[in-house]
Amino acid sequence: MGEALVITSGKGGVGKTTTVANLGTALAKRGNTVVLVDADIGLRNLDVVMGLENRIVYDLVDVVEGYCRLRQALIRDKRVEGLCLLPAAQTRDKNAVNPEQMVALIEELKEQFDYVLIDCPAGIEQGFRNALAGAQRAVVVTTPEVSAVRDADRIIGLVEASQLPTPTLVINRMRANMVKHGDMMSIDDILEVLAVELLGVVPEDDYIVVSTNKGEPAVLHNNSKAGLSYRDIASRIMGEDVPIPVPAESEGLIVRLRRMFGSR
Amino acid sequence: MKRDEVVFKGSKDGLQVILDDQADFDQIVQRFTKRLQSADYFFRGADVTLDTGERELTEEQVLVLEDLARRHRLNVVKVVSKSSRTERKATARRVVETTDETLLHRKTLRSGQNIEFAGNVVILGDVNPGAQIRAGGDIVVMGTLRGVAHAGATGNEEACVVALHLRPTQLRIGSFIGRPAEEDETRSIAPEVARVKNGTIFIEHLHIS
Repeated sequence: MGEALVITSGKGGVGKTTTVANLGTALAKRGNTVVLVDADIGLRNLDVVMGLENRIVYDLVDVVEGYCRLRQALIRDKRVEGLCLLPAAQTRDKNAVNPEQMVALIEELKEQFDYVLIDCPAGIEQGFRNALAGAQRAVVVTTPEVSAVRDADRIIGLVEASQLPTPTLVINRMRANMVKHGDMMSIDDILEVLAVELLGVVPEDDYIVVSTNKGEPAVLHNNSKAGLSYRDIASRIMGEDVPIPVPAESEGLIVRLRRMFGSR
Repeated sequence: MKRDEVVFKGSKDGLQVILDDQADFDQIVQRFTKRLQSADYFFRGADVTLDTGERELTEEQVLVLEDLARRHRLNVVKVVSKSSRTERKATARRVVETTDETLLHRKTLRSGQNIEFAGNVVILGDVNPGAQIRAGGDIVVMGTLRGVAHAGATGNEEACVVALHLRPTQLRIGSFIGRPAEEDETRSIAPEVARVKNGTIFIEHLHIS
């Protein structure tokens, strides 16, 4: 029986899909069987990032509605042994599926795969509830920006309220140089607010743009900094104790504000 | 015929709104909105009791319903439910009058979460940006206060806000509103207290006398 992880963030554009694609690929490269589930119905991206778009015949909604069997909708990634994708439907919306159906679907997938990675849509509405429904663990992705951290905090609260364990955190697009000059939130700044376990830090890496456009996850490329970080995170998900390299930092950006003016 | 999800009923205690406990919550909200819009002037200013039947409402759902009613100038006086948990959630949120009771919250309050309580509120944890506390009495945060805190929300200007680290987005005491001054690098790591003095919110080190 495998384990289902949902990758979520609240805010859009922080790298949920990139994270799912890379972690899934890295986990499969380590010999696990992995299925990536795109829960972003109506705005599917994961198939594009994985470079599997042209092989979609059936999708998640087809499975849930019984138009096809689960096996028919799964797309096998030929680059990595044991890696599959269950794409989202593009012509429907989040209301095409309900949480109960997701639970049943994820249960079925867990019987066949070691890891089920669910790519959650942005937002906190139906799509988020669907993506969370079948998962045992949640990983929250944020970038070192105040707005992304604020949304991550909201999401952590909602995950805890839904009876899942407190999520772990991936900080994406970290730029050590900017942190050093006090122009970006540091790891400590972020952890001080969110107070959750850090699963990994992924540096900003131009190669991600290339890999997304090519449909080839960065972990398949040996010289990608981000790819290396994703491999480490995959190892930590498998329960290995891999230290998180912390870039040199000075004072963080968040300046504490104290004095208050009063006004009626 | 299909049952109406939202039924308005007059009673001796004012207006009663019965929300069907089988229907989908979003559907209830839609229907409630429609009914309120179509009879805006008719209901305006009325005291209403929301009857949610068997349905177990989350805190957020209670808030949604109350907000909706308030926007149409309905005064929600009570939420009745067959689920006592729902009722408790509904009453815990309403600051009607000040009590001496103290609410202890044993967790960090995260963005989007809020607490409203008629008495004092003590948080064992942080209050993050985007979170809000409204208390009839004092507010004590055994951690860092980064969100919005409103002490003495029913007009008590003697109320105070205490935090181990006081870095609020905004502070309110009674009818006074304070926001942080310009960036202040000389941050204090000692516990501090905010009070109203001479018509402004004043922050100083906490001295236990």
